[in-house]
Amino acid sequence: MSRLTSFEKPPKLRPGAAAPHQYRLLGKKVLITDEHGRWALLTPAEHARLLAGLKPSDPLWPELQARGFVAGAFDFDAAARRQFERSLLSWKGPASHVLLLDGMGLETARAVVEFVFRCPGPQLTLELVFRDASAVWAVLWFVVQYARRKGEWTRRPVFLIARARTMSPDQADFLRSHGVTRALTLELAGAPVMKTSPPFRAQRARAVLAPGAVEPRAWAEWFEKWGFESVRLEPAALDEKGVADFASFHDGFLDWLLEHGEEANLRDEWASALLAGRRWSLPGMDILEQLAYDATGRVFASELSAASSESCLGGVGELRYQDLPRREAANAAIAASHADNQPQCSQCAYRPFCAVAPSLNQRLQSNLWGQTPASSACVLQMGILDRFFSRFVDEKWFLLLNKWHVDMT
Amino acid sequence: MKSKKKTPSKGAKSPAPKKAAAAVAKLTSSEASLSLDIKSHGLEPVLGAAYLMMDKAYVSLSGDRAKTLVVTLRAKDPAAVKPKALAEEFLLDLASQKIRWAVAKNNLPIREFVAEQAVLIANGTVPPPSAAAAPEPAAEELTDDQRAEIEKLISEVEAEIKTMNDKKVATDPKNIKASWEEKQEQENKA
Repeated sequence: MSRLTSFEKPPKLRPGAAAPHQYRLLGKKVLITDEHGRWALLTPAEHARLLAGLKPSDPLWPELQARGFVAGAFDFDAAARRQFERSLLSWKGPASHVLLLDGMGLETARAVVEFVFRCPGPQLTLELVFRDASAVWAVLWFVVQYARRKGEWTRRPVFLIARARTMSPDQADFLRSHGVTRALTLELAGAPVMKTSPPFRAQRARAVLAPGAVEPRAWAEWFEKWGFESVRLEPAALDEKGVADFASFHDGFLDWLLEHGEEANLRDEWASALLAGRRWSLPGMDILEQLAYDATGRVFASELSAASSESCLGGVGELRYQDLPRREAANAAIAASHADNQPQCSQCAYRPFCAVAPSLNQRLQSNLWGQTPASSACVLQMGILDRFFSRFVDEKWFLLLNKWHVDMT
Repeated sequence: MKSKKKTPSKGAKSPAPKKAAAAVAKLTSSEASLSLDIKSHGLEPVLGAAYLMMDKAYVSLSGDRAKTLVVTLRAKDPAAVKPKALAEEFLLDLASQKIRWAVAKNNLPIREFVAEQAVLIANGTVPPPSAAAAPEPAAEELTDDQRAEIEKLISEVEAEIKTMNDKKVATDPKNIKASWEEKQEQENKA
C-alpha cells in the first residue's frame, strides 16, 4: 500500500456530493481533511456515504455540513476568507529569522539585525543559534540589546529565542531579564538520570534521539522535573531505523503527556507547531516562514539550507528585502513548497499540517521538490500526524491540546 | 523467462475494483506489465498510481496516452517484492487514485470560485454574498426596489474603498519600503 493509503474496496462514487477533501485510512477509521485543516474521523461506511452523496436526513449531515465537507452546503465566503488568510495572498514576510552566531562579527550582526527589521511582518522572531554562549557573548549581548531597541523604535513585537548547548547561569539570567526564551539543544542517550540537571535552565528543548535512547516516559518526567515547558524531539538520522526509533520513542513520550497532562507543564512542540499551524517554529517552510543568516551575513532560505550555496539568496550588505522574489533560489523554494504542485502532496490528508520544507528535500534527496513516495521526512511527519489524529478518539487528548492552545474542535 | 497472462483480480485476496478487470497484466519473474485502457481508467489516475510506486519499483510507461498505456513495474528489491504483489498494489492505488481524482475534478468549480474570491479579497474588493449563502433574515423583508438601491450603494462604497486601497498601495503610506535609517531620518526631520 502506498503512503497515501488506498481502500481495498473502493466506495461507489456519485459525483458532486462531497466537497473538496483529502482522505487517509487511519486504523479502522477514515480521516478526511480540507485544505485549511478542518477534519473529521469517519468509518469507511460513513465515508462511502459521503462520497455517494449525503442526504440532509443523514445523521452525518449536520457535522459534515458544519465542517464544510458537503458540497451542497458549502460556505464559499468563509472558504475564500480562509484561503486568503492562509495563503501567499496575505503573506506578510517571514516571521522567523535564524541567526547562526558562531563566528559572527559585530558589524555583520548589526547588518543582519537591520536586514531582519526590513522584513515587513507585523511581528518578528529572532532565533539566535550557537553552541556556547561564552564563545559568542559579545555578539549575543549586542543582538539582544539592538533587536530589543529596534523593536521599540519600530513598534513591532519582537520575540527572541537563544538556542544553545551551554551557557553560564549569569548568561542565562541576562537573557531571561531581557525576555529571551532559552532553548537547550541536547542529545538523549540511554535513560535519564533524574538527579542530573540540564546544562542550563531553559524553557524549551530540542532533543535529538541518539541511537539507544530509551525510556521516553522517564525522559518526559526528567524534562518536567527540570522546568522545561516544551520539547521538540528529533530523530538522530532520517533513515529507516532512525524514523522507526523516533516513532516508538515519540509515542511513549505522548503517552506520558496524556497521562500527566492535567498537572504537567510540558508540551510536545510537534503537536503545538503542526496542529496549530505555527510552522515557523519548525525547520520551516523556506522563505515563507523562515530566513537564516550565517556568520558571514549570507541570507539563506532556512536554517536547514544554511550550508548550501544553492540556497543562498545573497548577503545582507547588498541584498534588499524587496529583491527576494527575484532570486531564482527563492522562486524555486516557494514553488516547491506548495502542495498543489506535488503529485502526492496535493492529495495528502496532512497537507494543511505539513512542514516538510524544500530544503529538507534538498538535504535528503538532492532535490528541492523531493520524491515524496521515497522521502523519509515525509514518513516521519506523516507518522507523527498519524499518532496525533489516531488519539482524537480520546477526549483527554482534546483537553491537552486545548491546554497547549491548539483548538482542534 | 516464464511469462503468463492473467487478470490480477483473479485469485487475489483483496477484491480489486470492477474497472480494474480491464487491466491486463503480464507477469514475468522480474517484472509486471499492466496494459491499461485510458478511457476507462483515466490518464491522471494511471500516472498518479505509477508515481506512488516509486519507492518500491522502477516504473516505465509506454504506449499511447490517449488510448492504452502499458505500465511496467520492476521491483527495486526483487527479493522483497514479487511482481504479482507489485501489480496488485498498483491496482489498489489506481482504484484509490480514481476516487481522489474524481473528488478533485468534481470540485474543480468550487476550488476555482474560492480561489477567485480570495484574490478579490486580496485586491481589496469584498466578495459579494455568494448564491450558496443563506439570505440575512432582514433582507427577506426588503422590497425589490430597496434591494436594488442597497446593492447600488454597496457597489459605490466598494468602488470607493478600492480606489482608496489603490492609492494606499501606490504611495506606500506606512513607508514599508524605507529602510530603518530612512525612517529615523524622516522622524528626526519631523
